[in-house]
Amino acid sequence: MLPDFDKNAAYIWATVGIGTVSILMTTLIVILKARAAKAALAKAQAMAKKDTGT
Amino acid sequence: MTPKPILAAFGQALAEAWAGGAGALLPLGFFAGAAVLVPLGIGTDPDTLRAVGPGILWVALALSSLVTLERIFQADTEDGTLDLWLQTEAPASAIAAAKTMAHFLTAGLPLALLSPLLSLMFLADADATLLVHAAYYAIGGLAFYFWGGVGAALSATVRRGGLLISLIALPLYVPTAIFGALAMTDAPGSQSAPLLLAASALFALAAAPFAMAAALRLAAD
Amino acid sequence: MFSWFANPSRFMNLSNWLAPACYAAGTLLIAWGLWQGLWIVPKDDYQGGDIMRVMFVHVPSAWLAMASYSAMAAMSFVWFIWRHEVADVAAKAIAPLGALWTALALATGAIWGKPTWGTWWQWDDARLMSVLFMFFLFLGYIALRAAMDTRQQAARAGAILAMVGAINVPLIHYSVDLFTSLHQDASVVTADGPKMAAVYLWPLLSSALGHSFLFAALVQTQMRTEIRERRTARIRADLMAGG
Repeated sequence: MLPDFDKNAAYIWATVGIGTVSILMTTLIVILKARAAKAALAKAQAMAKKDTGT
Repeated sequence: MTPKPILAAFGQALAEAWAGGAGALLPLGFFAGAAVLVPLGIGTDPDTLRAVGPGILWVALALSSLVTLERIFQADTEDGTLDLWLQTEAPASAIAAAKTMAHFLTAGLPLALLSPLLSLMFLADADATLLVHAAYYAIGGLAFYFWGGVGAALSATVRRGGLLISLIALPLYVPTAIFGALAMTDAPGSQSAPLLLAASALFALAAAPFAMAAALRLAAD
Repeated sequence: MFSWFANPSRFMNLSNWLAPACYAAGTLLIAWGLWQGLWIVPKDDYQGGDIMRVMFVHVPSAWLAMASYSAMAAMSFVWFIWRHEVADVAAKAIAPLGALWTALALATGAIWGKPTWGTWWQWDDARLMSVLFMFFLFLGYIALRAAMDTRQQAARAGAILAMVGAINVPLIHYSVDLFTSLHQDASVVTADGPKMAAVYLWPLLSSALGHSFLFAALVQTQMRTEIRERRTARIRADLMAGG
């Protein structure tokens, strides 16, 4: 159930919306970047291992 | 420590400023051009112009300082003169301060001297206040050029660093611009503004050279 | 104490469990604060009715704007003096996140200002102006780092700028304060009233703490990304050199 605000409801929901969306989007981007970096490092390490192995 | 390298840096910067074709005329032209664009943009109502005139000149002064600051350390970085300056026994902060001061004297001070003329174009009354205001522009300009010098030193190795300097330096201009604009109003309590303006310039003189020195050592690496 | 954290491997081990913990704590605290703020606490008629609920987003972001700049400047200082690489990684990670929260503080402040002051923006409010110029300092920091050729140069230039900015932020605040005191006619309703009832205090504290935890978690993830990218780059460089 959404709470019932007075005449300024639009301002309140805009604030909450901007805050939530921007932080969630940033978190998503940060986590995706972290996963890409982790995969790239694993790949590079595997290549290095193969390199020294042969 | 001898003052010789510092004087040499000062002299070299002065000579460079006058040697480059139009020399000191270039910032003057930019300053005047930026200022006269304003009445064309906001309309020619005399009361409005009289009210915004001093502020417009502060903005024009800040922008003019940014336009010329790009070259202050860049040329030295490119041709390797910077390494030579840093190898002298003089402190790097003194070299940086000397160069910035020379730059201010050739590119900043003329703007302050031109300001009474431009104030008249903004319909100010022709009295001694114009000279006092010119002195305020000179003091404020000193702070602008020293903080701007930090931006210039930081981006000395960056090609086309002009925009970067603006982004770095403009927030640092704020206190000076506010004190300067306040000093020119007669609002109650603005009596202390000239002193605060001078204080902000002195603070820039004291703090900026060390930041510039650290940045120049980085550029020389 | 700094030296203990200065080891990237130690940081990776620490943040391996600390970052998820911070995500969890941050999410829970923000959720509880928002739930209390939007659904439970009564509206405050002194503060203009329901609009003061914006506080539970705005105040935490304004607090983080200041805290993140201070943290970035402190990390820059640590790097500049002791050359601990993790400090530079931290400063680099804080900058874009700090810029985001600073922008959030400005945006939510404008939304709060419109119904309470009647304007989106107040030029003569020292807090607004300080936060605005802090935002510019963040942008300048990010742009300066991006313009540098090597990591070492970026670290050093960034550190100098962050410290120069840090000594200027109080000056900016003071100068605008003086500016404001001369414009008495503009009566600004202060965002935080003379005294805050306890019923608002706990949700507000929870939100502020939650944002701080989430921020810390995001900074840690960004730092982990940066450290991994540096390791990848080093391995690739070794492979190129060896092969």
